[in-house]
Amino acid sequence: MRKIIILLSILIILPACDLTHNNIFAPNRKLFKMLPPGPPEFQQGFLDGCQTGLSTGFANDYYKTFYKFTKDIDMVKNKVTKYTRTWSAAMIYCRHYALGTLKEAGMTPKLPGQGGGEHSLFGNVFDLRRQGAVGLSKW
Amino acid sequence: MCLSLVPDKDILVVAGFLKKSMKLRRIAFCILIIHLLFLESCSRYIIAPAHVKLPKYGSFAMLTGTRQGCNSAFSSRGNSMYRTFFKLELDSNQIEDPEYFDSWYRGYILCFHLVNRRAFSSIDSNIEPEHAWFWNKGKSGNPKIGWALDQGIKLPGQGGGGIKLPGQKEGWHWNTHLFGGNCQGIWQCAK
Repeated sequence: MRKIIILLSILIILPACDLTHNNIFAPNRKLFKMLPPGPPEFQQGFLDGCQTGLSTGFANDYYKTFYKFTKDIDMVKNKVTKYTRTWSAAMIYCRHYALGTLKEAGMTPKLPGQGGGEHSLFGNVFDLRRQGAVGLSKW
Repeated sequence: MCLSLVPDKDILVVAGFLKKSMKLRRIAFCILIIHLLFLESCSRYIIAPAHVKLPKYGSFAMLTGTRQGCNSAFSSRGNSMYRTFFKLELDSNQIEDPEYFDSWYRGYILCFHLVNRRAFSSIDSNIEPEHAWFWNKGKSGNPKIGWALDQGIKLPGQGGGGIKLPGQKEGWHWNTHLFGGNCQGIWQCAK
C-alpha cells in the first residue's frame, strides 16, 4: 500500500515540474500535434503563436499556468514572413480553440465589470449539458 | 436489439424454427446498422454541420486561402461536432503570398462569425425572445438597442450624441450590458 501511495505521489508531483505544453495536464495540448507540415520557421511560428494564443485572456488561469507569450524576436527583426504570419494565424486559431473548449463546458469568460474571478479549475468543466454540447439541437 | 442475439434457452425450446428466422433477421438488421455507421463516417462532406458558399471564381491563392481559413475557423471556434469535421489548414508554401494570407484571414473571420452564431445556440434560439433585440433592431419602440450593427456609428456632432472614443473622458463608462440602458454601442454608455 505504501508503495502505491509513493508511486502515485511521484506520478502527481513529477508533471508539475514541467509547466509547458509537454506536460500531460496541459489543456488542449493536442493542438501541438496538429502542427501542419512545413519548414522549421513555419513550425516554430505555429508553436510560438499557439502557445501565446492559449495564454491570452480568452482562456482561464489554468491555461495560463502552462502557456505564456512566446515570440522569437530575432525572427521578427529579420522580418521572416513565414514565421510572423504563421505566428499570427496560430495565435488567433489557438485562442479561439481555447475559448470554444471553455464555452462548450459552459465556462464562458466574463465581461469586464461582471465581477467575480475566473472560473475555477473544477468549476463546471465536465458539464457538457450547457450550450455547445454535442447534439442536433446545438448545431 | 443486438444484445438479444445471445441464445435464450427458453425461447429456443418454445420457438424452434421461428426463432432461427428471427435471429437471421436480427443479424441482418445489425449488419445494416453497422453499414450505415460506416457510410456516415465516410460521408463527412454530406453531413458536415456547415456548408458555406465560398467564391467560385478567383485565383488559386484566393480560393485556397478562403476555404482553408474558413475550415480553420470552424475547427477553432466550433464545438466538438465541428471539430470532428474540420481542422486547422494552413499552407506553408503559400503563406508568404499576400493574396493567400489575406484570403485565409478573411475566410477565417467570415466563418468565425458564422460558427459563433451556429455552434453555441440552438436553431430555435434565433426566434426566441432573447434574440428579439436583433430582429427588432431599427424598429421604433425597441429600447434595447441604440444603433444597429450594420448602421454604422454616428460621430459626435452628427446627431444623437454619437459614440465617444476611449480617452475622451466626458462621463462615459465601460458598457457592461450590451445594448442596454443608454448605450450607444458595445463599447461605452452614457452615465
